[in-house]
Formats: sequence, structure tokens, C-alpha cells
Amino acid sequence: MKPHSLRYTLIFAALAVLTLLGGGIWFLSGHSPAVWTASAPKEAKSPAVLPQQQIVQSTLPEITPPPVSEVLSQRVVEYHMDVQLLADTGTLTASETVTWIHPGKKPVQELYFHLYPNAFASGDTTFMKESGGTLRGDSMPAGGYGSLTLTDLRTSEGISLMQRTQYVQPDDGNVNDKTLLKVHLPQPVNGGESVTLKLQFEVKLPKIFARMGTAGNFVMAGQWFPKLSVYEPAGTRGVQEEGWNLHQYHGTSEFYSDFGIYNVTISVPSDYKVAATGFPVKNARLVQDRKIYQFYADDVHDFAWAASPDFVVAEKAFSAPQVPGVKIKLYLDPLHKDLQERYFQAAEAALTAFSKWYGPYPYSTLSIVVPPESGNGAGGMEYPTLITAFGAAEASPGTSLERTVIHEIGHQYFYGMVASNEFEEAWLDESFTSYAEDRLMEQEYGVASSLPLQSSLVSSSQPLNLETWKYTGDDAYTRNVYIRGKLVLRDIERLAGAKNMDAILAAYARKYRFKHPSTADFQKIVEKVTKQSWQTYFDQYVYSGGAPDFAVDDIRLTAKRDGGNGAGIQYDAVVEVSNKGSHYGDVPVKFIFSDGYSVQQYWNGEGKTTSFELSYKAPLVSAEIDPGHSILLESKHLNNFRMAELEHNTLSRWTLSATTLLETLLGTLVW
Amino acid sequence: MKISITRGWHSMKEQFYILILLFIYRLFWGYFMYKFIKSAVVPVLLRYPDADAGGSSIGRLLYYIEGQAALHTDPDVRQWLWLLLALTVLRLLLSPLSGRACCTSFTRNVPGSADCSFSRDEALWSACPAVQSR
Repeated sequence: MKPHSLRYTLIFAALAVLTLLGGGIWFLSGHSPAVWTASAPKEAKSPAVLPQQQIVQSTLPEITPPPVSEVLSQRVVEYHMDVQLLADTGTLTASETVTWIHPGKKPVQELYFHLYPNAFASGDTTFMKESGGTLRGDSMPAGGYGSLTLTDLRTSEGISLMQRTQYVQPDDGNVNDKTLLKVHLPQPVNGGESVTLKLQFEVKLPKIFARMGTAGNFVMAGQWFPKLSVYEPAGTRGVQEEGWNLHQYHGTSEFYSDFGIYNVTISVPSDYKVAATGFPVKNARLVQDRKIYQFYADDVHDFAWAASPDFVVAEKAFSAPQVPGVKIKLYLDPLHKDLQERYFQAAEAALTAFSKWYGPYPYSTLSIVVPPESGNGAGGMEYPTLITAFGAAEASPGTSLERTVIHEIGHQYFYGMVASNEFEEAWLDESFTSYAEDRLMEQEYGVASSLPLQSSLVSSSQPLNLETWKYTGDDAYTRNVYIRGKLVLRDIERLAGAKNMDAILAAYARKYRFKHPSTADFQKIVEKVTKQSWQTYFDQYVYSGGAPDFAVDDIRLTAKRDGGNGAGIQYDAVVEVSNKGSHYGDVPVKFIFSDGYSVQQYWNGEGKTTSFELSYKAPLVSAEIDPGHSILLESKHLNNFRMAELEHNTLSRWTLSATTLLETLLGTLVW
Repeated sequence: MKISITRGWHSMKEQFYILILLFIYRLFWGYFMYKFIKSAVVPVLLRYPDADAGGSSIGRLLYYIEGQAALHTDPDVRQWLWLLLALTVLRLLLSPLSGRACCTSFTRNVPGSADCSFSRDEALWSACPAVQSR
């Protein structure tokens, strides 16, 4: 036995040495999962990368999903959620485990959760009072209320925190608003440390009119879970002191969140199909009469999903120079089942152009959900890697279909990756996206926006970095944040030059990719690229609601005179023009004479008024400021044109006609 | 017939001051209404970018769009519309008063027609010159 035993011992020893040597070489050669992670392809999480991830994952037991990929953002949050859709009652029952990694330095004793579904809890919430129950033309259907009920909240050690919660209303003090919840932690969290909470909650989905809810058997679950607010370390968006950025859900506001990881299991009735942020970790499996999906997404700051038994699903793999590999997935309302190519074409055009202009699209999926007509309130909305087009109202819509898809994909950059604060600086996502959308629509479909007409809509010019609920007046939020902001960008393009503007936006999108920039950060990029100060411009048109308002105030025609030297009769005219608004330089003024001759002169814009003296062989007929309508920031064009004088007969005819008409009308009222 | 005409002629002569009052009333009303309308027509015509005056089609489109918006937003336009409403209300009040006054005065001198009660209003209105003149 002994020699036999010695031989075995030697064999085992040799094997052990070989194993150790082999393991050491394998480790040093960089094949450990950790090193693989660090050397992962930098451009994108393309599907081609995923099989490798799964190979690595397969050696590790019980780890789902496969999170091994390059870390693109500071992942402050990690959500693991399990949600069941009860289609009959329109409710979600869910559990959530959320880990928050303190991104700042000071100890934090409170966490804050956005409970967005509570915006629809009653007519007295801040959202409902501000919006009047109508958003973008869609009104809340009768009895369409919904809400989120937190049924349990514990620490990872199992300590209940249900008694340590409080609804807060930092914006308006409306006690009926329960969209922001403060949780007082038993122990403070120090900078760099993490805390994990476990939540149980139920959502009674509202009827769709404002982004989320149900419409028939269509479900749009956007902003459906308790979501942590953003804790801004000092320096983020220029804040001096670190702290929570806290806002309620407002009638006009959208959202603001930190990047992180989402691992979500969604259980729906077996006939439902689910579209969601991220990619499916495995194929949906049937368990009794339920279908269970599992999705995973990282470097995103939200997770949305939509479900319907009626979806017509189509997929297409796509790649382009800056798009390493994306699976475009359509979830169409049956009315649009024949429009797949239009959706695909718009999505491909958007991904190609925006990736070229603003940096690579780093995700492996892009889902496009087309709601039914009754769910139009959920349409035209952006979520990370998932967008919704407008509701399918007609079988053959115009180019608004492409425009919406392109706009929402644009938000994958300005919102998705360049994650600005939509509560406080909504123009940083909406204006920038609208600018990009216009440019691509013109390039791809030859559809140019009529910018002078759009500028006319901005009747009330207000600051662009205003908190969204502080815009006052009819539709002022939309007209400033979507239109005026875009016109400001077009104006910057006019002043800086098209090439510089491309460089500005490319630099901005790349520098603040996966970060939270502010308007001031954008201004710094503009100044860096153009190498000049833009402070005055930003003060006038961005930080204030500045707008020029040019007017031809008066035209004085003086008596004709003989010019002498055979010049014949000369007519003199003095034209008074003014700018009643913000300063604007190099303004063209066109003068038209009765013989058809016209001349254009420029006013340098200095001072509030100026006058032009003209002398010509024919009388002046009219004067017009900015005849080409190139000054996009001016919204009042009515006073830009003025005739020199009116013919007496014309004036009498119009006045008498109008007077007689009015007298006749009055005659029907008075006796 | 001749008697009625003669009686009417005499009655008119006796009420001549009413005629003057009505004339002045309508003269002033017409004059100020004309001026008031003209104050709106002048800027509307002056600012219209007519093609003959060198205006562009986009300029005319903007003129209509902004003109419509100005009905709600422009303070000058709103002031003019409020004034128009005020004038309408004024006319609404003045006309029946003047009509009633004239009627009362007219019937006072007609034998057997001194009563100007409500029950006879319809007949009286039809006899009133202010009504007939319209």
C-alpha cells in the first residue's frame, strides 16, 4: 500500500502544482472576469458582446442577470424589482430591492422616493391642479384616478421603516400631494457607503391621459415604481452644497434620476406581450397562466415597460458606423401593422445621424411602442431604450409619425445619456432634441419647419432655465421650452456658424454623456468652442425671457423737390425704427419705392431707436424690418412692416364700410 | 288724410327741439363712431404687407396669425375691443331712453294720447319718429 500511496501522493502533488501554475498564468494573462470587465469594448453593449458575458456568467452560480459590461456611468442606484400585472383590475403588485450608493461626502439620514403614480390619486394633487386633468390635449377619462400604495418598507436587516416615512411637498406645500416620500433611516449613510431597502407596493394604474396607465388592455407602466430622487454632490450642475434635488410631480414637469442598474421581472397574463427598457435576460417563460419576462438594463436612469395582448411585434438588427449593433423592436398597435418599414426607417435614420453627431448609441436594444388611439396620452414619450410613438389614430398618418419617432430617439441622447434636470432646466432636453429633430427631418425627409411661424407662437417669452411649473400663461411651458429654446439654438448656430454649432453640440453631448449638466455647463462649452464670451447673450435670451421687438414707428414723406443738375424730382423720406425689446445687432431694413425699386440697409441695433433718411426719384411706399424673417427670436412681426401712407380713398372706403357694418350689427341689438 | 298730415306737420313744428336733439345725437354718434373705427382701420391697413407694397406671402401669413393672437393678447387691441363693448352698451342704454323721451313728448300734445303706459308701448313706439327713421 505504501509505495502505491506514495505514487498517488506524487501524482496529486504534481497535479496540484500544475493546477496552481495554470491558474496563476490564467489569472495573470487577464482572463479573470474582473479584468475582462475592464477591457470590455468601449463603444457599445452590442449583442455581439453578450454571448461572451454569458460564458463568463455561466461559470458563476446563481447570478442573474449578466451585469458584466463596461461601466459607462456612475451607477448610484441598483433596482431589483418583481412586478405582477393584474390585468382585470388594472393593478400592479410589486416588490423592490433598491441599493443606493452615497455619491457625496456628508452623512445622509434621509432617503427620498418619487411616488409618481400618486399624481393621479385625486383632483387635489399638484399635478391635477396644475394640469386641470389635461395633458397635451388628452384629458383624464371619467374615474381614471390611480395611485401607489406602499405596503411594506424595510432595511436589508428587516427593520420596518413604515413609521419613519413622511410625504413632503417642497415646491408648493400642497398636503394633498403625495408624490414625494421622505424615509428617515435608522443609521446615517456616509459618503461612498451604500444602503439597501426592500419595498412592497401596489399601483392602481390610472386611465391613460398623462403618460402612464391603462387604455383597454394596453398598459403603459412609466414612472410606476418608488424611485429615488437625485442626490447631487457639490459641483453637480453648479450646486455649491451637496444635497437632494427634490420636486413633486407637476402638471408640466418631467423627471430627473440617477444612473444605475435595473433588473426587473414582469409577470403578465399569458397572452400579453411586453416591451421594456433594456434587454431580456432570457426568453419569456410560461408558468401556469402567466408569462414571465425578465429584463436587465444598466447605465440607464429609468425603467419603463408596456404590455398588451394586441401588440404586433417586429424586430430588426441594425448597425451603422457609430451604432455597433442594436436590435430595433417594434410593438405596434394592429392598426399600424403595415407601417413597420416606416418605423424602422425612421429609427435607423435617427440612430445613424444622432450617433454620428452626438456619440455612439451604447445600448443593445431600442424598443418602439405604438399605443392604441385610446392610449394616445402615453404616446410621444421617451424612456431609456424605449420610446412611444403617438397613438395609432389613422392607418396612414403623415410625416408626424417619423417626426415623433425621431424626436423621441433624440431624447436617448438629450435626456437618456445627457441626463439634465427636467424639473428645473427642461429646455436642455426638449429644445436640444427639437433642434436635432428639425435638422434630421429636413435632411432625411425634406420637411423643413417654418421657423418664423413657430417664433410667432412664443407670445410670452420667459427664461429657459425656469422650473417648469413657474411658466405663466397659455401653453407658455411648451412654447418656451420646446420652441423658443430651439430657436435660441438656431440663433446660436446663426451667430457661431453651422460648423461651430456642430462642434458645440458634439462636445457638449460627449462631455456630459452619463452626467447631469446644467445650462451653465452648456454655456461653457459654447464659449470654449467659439473662444469668446456669451454671457450677455445667455443673460438676455436664456437666463431671461429676452426677445427683440423691432418696429417701423413712423414714415415721414417730405415735399418733392428738384434735385438739380438734371437729377429731376427727388422725394425725401425719414423712416423711424425702434427696438422695443432686447438688444439685437445687424438688423436688415428694406425700403420699397413706388417704381418697384427696393434697397436694403442695416441697423447695428445700438440704442433703442434710429432713423433712416432716404432720397429717391420715386416716393417711398413701405419699409420692412427683417424682410427675410431671419431674426428667429422676434415673436412680434406685426409691427415690422409699415406703409408710408394710405390712399385717402382706400382709407375712407374701409372706414365707411366697417362703420356701416358695425352700425348694422348694433341695429340688431339696440332699438 | 290731409288732416292727419297737417296735424303731423304741426306736431312736428311744436316738437322741433326734439328733431334738433335727435339730429345732434346721431351726428355726434356717427362722428365719434367713424373716428373710433378709423383709429383701428389705419394701423390695420398700414401694417398689412400688401404684395403691391412689397410685402411677402409669409409676411401676410404672419400678419393674420399674429393679428388673431393679438385679439387676445395685445393690450391696445384689447383696449379697443373693450371700448367697442362700452359704446355698444352706451347705445343700448341711450337709444330706448331717447326713444321713450321723444315718444312721451310727442304723445303729450295729442288729444287723448296722454297715457304713455306700458300697455300702450307698442303703439307708441310705432308712432315714434326715432323708430320710424331707422
